[in-house]
Amino acid sequence: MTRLRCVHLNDDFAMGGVVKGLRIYDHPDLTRMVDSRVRPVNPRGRMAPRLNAHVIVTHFPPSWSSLPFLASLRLRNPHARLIHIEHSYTGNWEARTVRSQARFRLMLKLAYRMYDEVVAVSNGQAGWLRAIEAVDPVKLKVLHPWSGSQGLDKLPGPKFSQGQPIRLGAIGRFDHVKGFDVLIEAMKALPASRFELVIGGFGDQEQALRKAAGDMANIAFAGRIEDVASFYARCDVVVVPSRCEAFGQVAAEARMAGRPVIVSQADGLPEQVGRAGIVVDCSDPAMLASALAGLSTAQLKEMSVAARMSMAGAEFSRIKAWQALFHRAGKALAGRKSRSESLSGTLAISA
Amino acid sequence: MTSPEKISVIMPVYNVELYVAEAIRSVLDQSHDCLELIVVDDGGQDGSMDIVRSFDDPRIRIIRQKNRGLAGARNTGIAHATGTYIALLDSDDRWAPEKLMLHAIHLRSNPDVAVSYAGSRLIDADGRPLAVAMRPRLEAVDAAHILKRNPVGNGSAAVIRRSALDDVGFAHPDEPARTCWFDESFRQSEDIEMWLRMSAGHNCRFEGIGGLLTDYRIIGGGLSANIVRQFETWERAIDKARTYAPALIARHGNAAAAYQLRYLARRAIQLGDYAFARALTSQAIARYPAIFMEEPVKSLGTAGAALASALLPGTMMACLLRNRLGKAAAA
Repeated sequence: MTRLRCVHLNDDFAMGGVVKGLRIYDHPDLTRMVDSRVRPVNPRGRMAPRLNAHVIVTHFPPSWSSLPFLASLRLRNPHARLIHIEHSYTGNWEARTVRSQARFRLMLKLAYRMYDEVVAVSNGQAGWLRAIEAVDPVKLKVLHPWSGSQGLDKLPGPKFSQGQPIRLGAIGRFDHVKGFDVLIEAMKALPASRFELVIGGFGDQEQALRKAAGDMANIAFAGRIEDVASFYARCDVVVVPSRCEAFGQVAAEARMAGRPVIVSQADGLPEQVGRAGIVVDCSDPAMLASALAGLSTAQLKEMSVAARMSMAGAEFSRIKAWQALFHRAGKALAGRKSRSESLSGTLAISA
Repeated sequence: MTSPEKISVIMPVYNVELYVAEAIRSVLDQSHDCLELIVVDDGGQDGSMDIVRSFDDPRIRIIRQKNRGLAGARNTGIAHATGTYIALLDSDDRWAPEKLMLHAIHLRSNPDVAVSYAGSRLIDADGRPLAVAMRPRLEAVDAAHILKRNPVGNGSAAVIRRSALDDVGFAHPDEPARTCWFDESFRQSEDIEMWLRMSAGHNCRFEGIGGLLTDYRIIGGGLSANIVRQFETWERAIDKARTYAPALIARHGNAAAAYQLRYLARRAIQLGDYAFARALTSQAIARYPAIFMEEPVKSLGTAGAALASALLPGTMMACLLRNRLGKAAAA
């Protein structure tokens, strides 16, 4: 089989998870099948380019203003396999943000119609897309993102011992959707002798979060994190209190590092937990605080072991799933080609 | 072209967190991809099942049960299987990627073969291949060969035709609703018991194909007491076969016991219990002296190792074995 040419279109290189997720295409088991390139685009109110690619993968969320781009992408690249990865929209996001549900869903339907496959990044997200009938269920696939092990699989596990404070960690954009404000409120209800919190990241909400933390000595801000492994090394337990989270790369990274995960009920988070942590209603700081206060050392030790185990097959499965996706693309392209050849053959005879 | 046969892979899982990921990867990597992987959670306590669930593939099915042992877990798996062929894989072993494809071709083109098997490499705890391999007899295999040498070799080598398997199923004595293929009253030697029942009791044909398609893991450690128990259960399997194939056991029983004792002597050498190895070897010779004529090299090798161990210092012996057995040899 000839190597497929694939172009990834992305509009926002600030989004942590999306950009990290692009690394998977450099994996040797995929580069053997596919030559992948990333191309920055601004899809709003513009026409799409003609691309020299067998497969085109879009990573930006569709919108009314990008519909002309998507339509022209389809028209100008009639032989390419078009795939969309939905990194952003979720059921929680829709419920919190969208004013006209009907209008939003119509936009999704129109946009997704241009594609040969639409990839959800979690089962939670896929369930919502199916429920609102945004996409033909045959075209909908689920692929959990993979951002590489980043040394997390080798990180020594946390040591939980009675009497030692539990070091909580949270990391991400300082944005309202991440729910760090709830976590800081919860910290106020927890004994400072038992819980410490370190928050990694940056963003618009930084001033508000620092103000909320006030002069609490057991809350630290670690700033922008370059070395992910050394950040997780500073935490025993990772909290992901997000209000929306299509998948939640942080929970996957924490599990790989053997850190128990305390996550909200949002979208793609609960399916990641298994025995590696607990799912908590994070809409109320008091609930989060009492869940944290209730964790025993023995429980945390078990969760820590289960956390690491729960990622053992992740890389293999994700690579396999991508191989299968490109394999489907290759087959569809071959089918398309032979159909058009036999069609031109018939025309030649009739002429 | 006909569509490929579906193969059901039966994998019991019981406290194997160090190895189970490799076993699963080797299944999902098979070039014959029309398969289902039935993982039977046999009620272990470690993180093995967290690892199993970390693999995200629609071909994996997980069935949970209270602990029943290997035979019981395999039976549960077979009961849930929907494939034309049944492949057994122990969760500490692994396969070459082409294994199922080759067995599927073999079984498809030989409708009279019930059990298809192949040789195995031996690997140590870290997955490194050892110098020794299992290269069993492949053709013209009859019940006497199965009794004496068990050419199937290990629990991860056989691919069985479902229709043949169903000929040997029976109701569990205490749970009539439960079908058994493997006899659950055996906690060891459950393989040879079933192979004997299939070949001597039901005339099933066994045939091997070339290549070393299974990596069979030899894990160091264990106790000599287990070797004694292993021989006792093996003898119980032979006693059971005597009820339906008396002539076969009368004719080949002693030879089979000698081969089994020689095999156990090799296990004892591996464990570093050389005195026990010598005792087993002399018992083997007493039961069936002709073992030297039938397989002189292997028999002399085992006897030689057992004797050398009496003369050489222990450290030198361990060193010799490590060269051959890698990490699987006793330290």
